[in-house]
Amino acid sequence: MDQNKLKRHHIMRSLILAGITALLAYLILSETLSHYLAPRLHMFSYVTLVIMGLLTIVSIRQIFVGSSVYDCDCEEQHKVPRTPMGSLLVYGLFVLPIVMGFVMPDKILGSDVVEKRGITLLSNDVRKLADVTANANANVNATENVEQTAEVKEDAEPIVEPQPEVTNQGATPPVQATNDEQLRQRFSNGGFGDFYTDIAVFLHKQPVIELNDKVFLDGLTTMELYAKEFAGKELETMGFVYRQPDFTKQQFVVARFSVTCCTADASVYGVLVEKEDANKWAKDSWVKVRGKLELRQVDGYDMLVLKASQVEAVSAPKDPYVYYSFESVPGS
Amino acid sequence: MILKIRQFLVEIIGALLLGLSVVWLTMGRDSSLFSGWSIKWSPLWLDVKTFFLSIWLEAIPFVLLGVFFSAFIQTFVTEEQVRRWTPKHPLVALPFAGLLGFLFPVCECAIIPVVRRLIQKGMPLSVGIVFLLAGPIVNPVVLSSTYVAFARQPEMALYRGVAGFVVALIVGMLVFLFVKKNPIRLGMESQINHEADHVKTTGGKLSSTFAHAVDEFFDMGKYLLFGAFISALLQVYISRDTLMDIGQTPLTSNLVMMGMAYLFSLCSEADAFIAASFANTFSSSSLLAFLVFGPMLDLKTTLMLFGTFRFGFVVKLVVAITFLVICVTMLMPM
Repeated sequence: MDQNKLKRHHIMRSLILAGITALLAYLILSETLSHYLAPRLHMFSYVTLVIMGLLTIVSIRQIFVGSSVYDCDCEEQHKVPRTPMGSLLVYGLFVLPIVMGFVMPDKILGSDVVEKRGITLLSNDVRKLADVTANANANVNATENVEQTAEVKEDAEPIVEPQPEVTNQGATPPVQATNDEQLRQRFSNGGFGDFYTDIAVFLHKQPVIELNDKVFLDGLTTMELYAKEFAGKELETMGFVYRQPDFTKQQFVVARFSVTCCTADASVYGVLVEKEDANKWAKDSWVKVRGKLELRQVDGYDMLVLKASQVEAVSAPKDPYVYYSFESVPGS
Repeated sequence: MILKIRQFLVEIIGALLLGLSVVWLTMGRDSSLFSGWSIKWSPLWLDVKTFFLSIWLEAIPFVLLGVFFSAFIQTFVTEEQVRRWTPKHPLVALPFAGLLGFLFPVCECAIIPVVRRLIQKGMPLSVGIVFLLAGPIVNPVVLSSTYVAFARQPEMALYRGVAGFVVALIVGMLVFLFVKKNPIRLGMESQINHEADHVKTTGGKLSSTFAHAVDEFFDMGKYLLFGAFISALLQVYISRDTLMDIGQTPLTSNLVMMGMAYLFSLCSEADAFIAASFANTFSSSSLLAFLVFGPMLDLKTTLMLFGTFRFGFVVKLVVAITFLVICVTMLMPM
């Protein structure tokens, strides 16, 4: 292998390394890194940026002093591709993410991906969803029936006080007679650990539960665990609109992607929303929904459905994904 | 001279053409070839981009960590030291390697260059393989993330650790008993001696560490990129329901979950959360298979293994791991 060929490889490598460095810098500066990685991994990317910068310098240095560093007859063993086709393939593979990163526009994950992955709804998995929909289709009065069931259920629990019906949605919600201690008592017998008890108390205390980005996942899990206790509570949340083919016109899911490390591990969580004119909102558009939680019984499972009173279109947040915190209850 | 310049240009243009062809392929069918930057991208391809860059960006820091750790071992740890630290008797050495992850909590991307280097430095092959397989599972970071992900089934972390340890140990035993020939790929052996020569002749340890890091980044990086790209394509075009429909009996559900673990190429720190999201649909035993198989083998690491070991050895390794993971997870009382 002659020196010039080796030199060409070094030039190609330097260009690629410089490209990767530039791409990383671009993602960090334009704050789009969170479309790809969870915040706890951002630190690693900053370090990577520095290291890639250093590697670029080393590689550029190799172009000029390469012959003196590798001043021996053993170039064959250095791992450069041997044939032109080989180099085309290998370097093309490295060029691919750089080109994609710079040229293709950013898109946050949406309904197309949800369809491939399935969605985890409040208190239920996707297989049960079909049954809920079927119920809603079959019986116009289903809602009322289920509501009654829910109330009966609540009556059966000795410490649970039934929520009074609120007809006027704008009115202030019923004042909670229970204090923190009683709430704790109520949520601690599920055996789900202190963490969820804390969250449950934190959420239940609020007159209108605000399911924001910080508590979205933990909040959903908590409400799933204590579905009966949360029935009748008012809730406000935000997410993108997702529909399945078997949904009625009154239904959509307000969904969020949860990301643990990178989007490959993204999974979808959401709340089933019902509203008369629900089909007004296009899929993948972002909405803020406010309404009242309602308990449904499906195959012996409890499932919470949000009867929306208010839906408004909003713009997608800067960081479209939600994350588990697992550390502390926000605001407590 | 002119000929050389021309060759050089050909390669650059070739790379550019490849990039452009990808751009063209990823465009929506209805748009013209050069409609400027306002190309109408097919949304599925934009999702492929998101997944591809995401897996890649996530893995780079850990691959670099592995590369530098391996370069560090190369430059500063002598072969006698490796031999001295490794227990002599295989019955002690294999479990020792299985628990090494507690000392070096590395995930599956970082461990391959490290193990390759350790084997080249004289660590017995069977011991290296046990570390390679058990390291990304039996380590505090991964086990604690499993514990957190399975909030309702905290014993899953224990099962995962035990199953991973057992499978790695048995594979190590098999390697110890049956593999006598050195399976490191041709040329690697002479390369290592040759690298040592470089360090001696150039004297600059730091600069040679960095130079080798560049080499190894490109060496490992191509397998990583290819695996990440395939995985991104599959995630966008294959529906999970398709897989779920196959996996209804105990055996097939384990196989399906292992297949998913293989294709998704998740980081072992994060895969527990995915497994937990399947908790309603799949049996605990198949979730365990997912959690044990994924870190040991997936699309990107298999390609990296092919870059390190001989073809036949990797195939045998894959078969042995697959078979053992099925057996161990099916027999696990849970």
